[in-house]
Amino acid sequence: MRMRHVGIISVGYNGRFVSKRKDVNIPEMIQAAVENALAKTNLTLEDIDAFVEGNMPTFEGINYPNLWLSDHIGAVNKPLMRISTGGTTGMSAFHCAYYHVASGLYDTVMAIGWEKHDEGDAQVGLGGIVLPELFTMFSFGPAMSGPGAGGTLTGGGSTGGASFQAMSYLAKCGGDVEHIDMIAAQARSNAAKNPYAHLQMPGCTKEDIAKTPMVSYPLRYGHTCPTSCGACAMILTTDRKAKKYSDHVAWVKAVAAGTSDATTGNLVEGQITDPAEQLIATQVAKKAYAMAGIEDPKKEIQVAEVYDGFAHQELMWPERLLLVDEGKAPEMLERGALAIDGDMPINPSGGVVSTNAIGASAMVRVAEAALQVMGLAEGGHQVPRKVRNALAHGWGGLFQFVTVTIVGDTKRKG
Amino acid sequence: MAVEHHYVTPMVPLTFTYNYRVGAFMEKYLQGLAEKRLYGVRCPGCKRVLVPPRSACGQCHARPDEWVELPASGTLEYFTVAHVCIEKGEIKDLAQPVIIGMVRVDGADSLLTAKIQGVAPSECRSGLRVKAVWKDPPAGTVHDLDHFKVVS
Amino acid sequence: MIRNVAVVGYKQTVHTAASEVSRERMVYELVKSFYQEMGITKDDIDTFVMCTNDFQEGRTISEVYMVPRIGAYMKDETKVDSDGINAVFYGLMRILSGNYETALIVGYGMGGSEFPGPMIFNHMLDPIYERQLGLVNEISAAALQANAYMRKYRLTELHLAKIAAKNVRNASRNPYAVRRIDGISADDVLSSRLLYSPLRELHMYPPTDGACVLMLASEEKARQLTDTPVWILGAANCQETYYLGERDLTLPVSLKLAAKQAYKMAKIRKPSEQIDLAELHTNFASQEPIFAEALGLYPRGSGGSVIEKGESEVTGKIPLNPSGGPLGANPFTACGIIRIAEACAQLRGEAGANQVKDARIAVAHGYVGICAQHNTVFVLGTSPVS
Repeated sequence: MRMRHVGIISVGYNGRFVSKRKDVNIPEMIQAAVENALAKTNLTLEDIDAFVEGNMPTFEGINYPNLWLSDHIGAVNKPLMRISTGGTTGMSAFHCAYYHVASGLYDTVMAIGWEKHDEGDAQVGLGGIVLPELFTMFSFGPAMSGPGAGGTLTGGGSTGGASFQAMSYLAKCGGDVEHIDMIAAQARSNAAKNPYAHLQMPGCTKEDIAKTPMVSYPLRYGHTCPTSCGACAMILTTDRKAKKYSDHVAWVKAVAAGTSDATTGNLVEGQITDPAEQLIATQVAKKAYAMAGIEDPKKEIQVAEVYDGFAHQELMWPERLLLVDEGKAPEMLERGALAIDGDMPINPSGGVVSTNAIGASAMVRVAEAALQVMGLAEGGHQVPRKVRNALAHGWGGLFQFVTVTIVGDTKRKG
Repeated sequence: MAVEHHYVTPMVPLTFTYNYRVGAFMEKYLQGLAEKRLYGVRCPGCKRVLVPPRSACGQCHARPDEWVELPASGTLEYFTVAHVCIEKGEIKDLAQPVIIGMVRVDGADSLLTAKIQGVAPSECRSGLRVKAVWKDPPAGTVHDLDHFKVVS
Repeated sequence: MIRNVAVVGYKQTVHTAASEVSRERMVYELVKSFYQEMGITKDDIDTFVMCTNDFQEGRTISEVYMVPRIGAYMKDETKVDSDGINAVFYGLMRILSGNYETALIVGYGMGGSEFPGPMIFNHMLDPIYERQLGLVNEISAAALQANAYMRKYRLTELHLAKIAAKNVRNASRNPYAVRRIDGISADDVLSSRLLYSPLRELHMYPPTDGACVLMLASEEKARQLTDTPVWILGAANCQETYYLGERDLTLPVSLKLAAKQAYKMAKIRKPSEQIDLAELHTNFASQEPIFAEALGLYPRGSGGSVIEKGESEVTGKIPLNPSGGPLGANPFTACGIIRIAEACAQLRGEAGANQVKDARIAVAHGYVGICAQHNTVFVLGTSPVS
């Protein structure tokens, strides 16, 4: 069955992502992103047929925030769906918007991803993923706790899990901490060329990063993402309407997703899952390439935005997503191949490690990929070569939710 | 056969504390309440006067920009008599019933939720005229408008 | 719609006030037995759409440990954070796109043993005004809504009690329901605990632990999987304004708009004549006439006369909640999925003691938000739209 073509015609941000926005409340912050997305087209809110909204609700303590947002985002008396899948919420919400249009039920849909971290405590919110399980286990024993406690303890929860992943990745690729310092420095300098990014450090060097304290070996403070406030709004429409509404379009050539398991191990059977293995990411990438008709991603993808909550992931994901040969990312980094003007630019926007409003972050990956295809990335982070195809990737939960989107300058064949 | 259910309540050392920005519109509204004034905003598109004030008109998508001071009086549109309250998810009996009403504020197109006093629950009915009663001294919260009192 | 999609199977737990097993085991056993009864494995499911809620479970990313338990390990899976009926809606869109042929929807709630409903509701209120004011909660809001309707139309407290009793009577004949009170009368309802006038404990849903799984398939796959597919003729959703004081609580406009769109897709021109029954997401008995009228099933303001004449009974003109509805069992995110499952059971002739005669077209409804701020409507039928 031939699938309807869907194009992204606009990307909007509420403004630069920052640590705190004291001047606006949540709906006002998001309202600005919606207006920004519309302003780049000749659409008004009347033309939007449906909305998709997503964030991680424990960070603001509001359940079903789409209800409060109704008036501020222009969704009154319109269809709206809410998606929440941990860190990859933004891309899952984008995929939902894609399916709204691809289903034939709606023509023009707005997807919104957002987070306002300054109103909650991100560490507490993240703690809520595994600590209830762990404390049940500590208090009442493994038999009483849920399935995740033992395994998660092995992996050490979120940051612990990330450092485990980084160690394993470095062992696999033969790289070292210095490579993570280098990629983090590249990310911060790229961010300085993106007017919307949070941590902008022009001319950042690996020495600057190496000065930051070690948090959990091999991850330093300078390797971790900030918590940011901000919103991203994207408008999708059909191929027939795209040209009518906007001068620019990035065609959605593939959407794919997959989920593995959250437990990092099984204490009873003595198994540990290696979070650097990421079979699910490779599986999802292959599905995406098949849908997009891409046979040689290394040649056919000109830029990628991957979800790097931790800097080492900017090296790891390209390998798992088959954009870079396994184990070769550190070497490519050393010769500048992953830079904005390199052979395989990774995260010209600065990535998640420079800007992380969690509910928005995975959507921002698609937004940035779309901007690259449309030639609209501002401030100097547009890659110099012609972008035919761009890949966006997101992960969430305890490294087990994976989403991939491929956008391009032509419609998918077939 | 009786089955023994074993329940546990784990104590998890996570304190979820939130500090919300109210935004410029709610800020001004709260300041007004502290001064014993009730403010609404008028939408330039549909001309409705909305309270509590906000930065968006859901109906016509315009940004309300005109502040309107409203007489702090209105008509009780409908109400319920509370015999319980909800505390941390538990339903608890109230010592005295409380009337919770929806008040059509004079000059506004919105109804405000508020406690209604000055009438016995059994005598309360739609259509009664009410007037705002302020907290004195003000505390700088939404409760500075303490309740609406029935006026004869 | 560009292709025909059907509900090919569903299963709900026997709901309880307090589950004997953990929610993970409850959902695992339910989905596993569903696969066995359908004669399929997880490999027959192309995509999974879960419906879970962090506040309901006291955990961030609530579906984190549940995904492998429904068979979605290493498979395509996503999560809708709303009522479960919206997860079914998303599953429908995924199949309509042509990218998938089958979808599995799962929702569940532990409002009985783990987390009280009113607490979840409180967090839906905006934190800067309504939550600070502390007057509106799920029950007081529903009471205000009930009063708005009763003030406008001739609906008495006795009518309201009869509506509640009818629902619980139906629930008592429903093997899955948790509130089953044999011989319940309007008087029983009127003597239950008074909460916010006129609403009493028996007007409101019972604390429930339970789950529901439902499978959708494209026409081609549906015909392979079952002899009795139930066709989705129309589906739509709509969200209205957040501000309670600017809504007509006696007729949620978002429900009216969603119904209009769903009926248009289903080519239903006169719902009051063409719809054989409706499963409504009535967390409170007072919502029954309000939702039924917004759906165009009964005339505006007719709530009193409908219950007096027995028109909403299983044997009546248009039965409302023949299953007993949420007053029989409300496992939160599963509630809207169960409305579809119960409607499908009617259309397949599997509704047992509550079977509506000659049921061919049914409406299933779900909502989320204060006084139903967001509504979703499905029109289901024994034959596809011509």
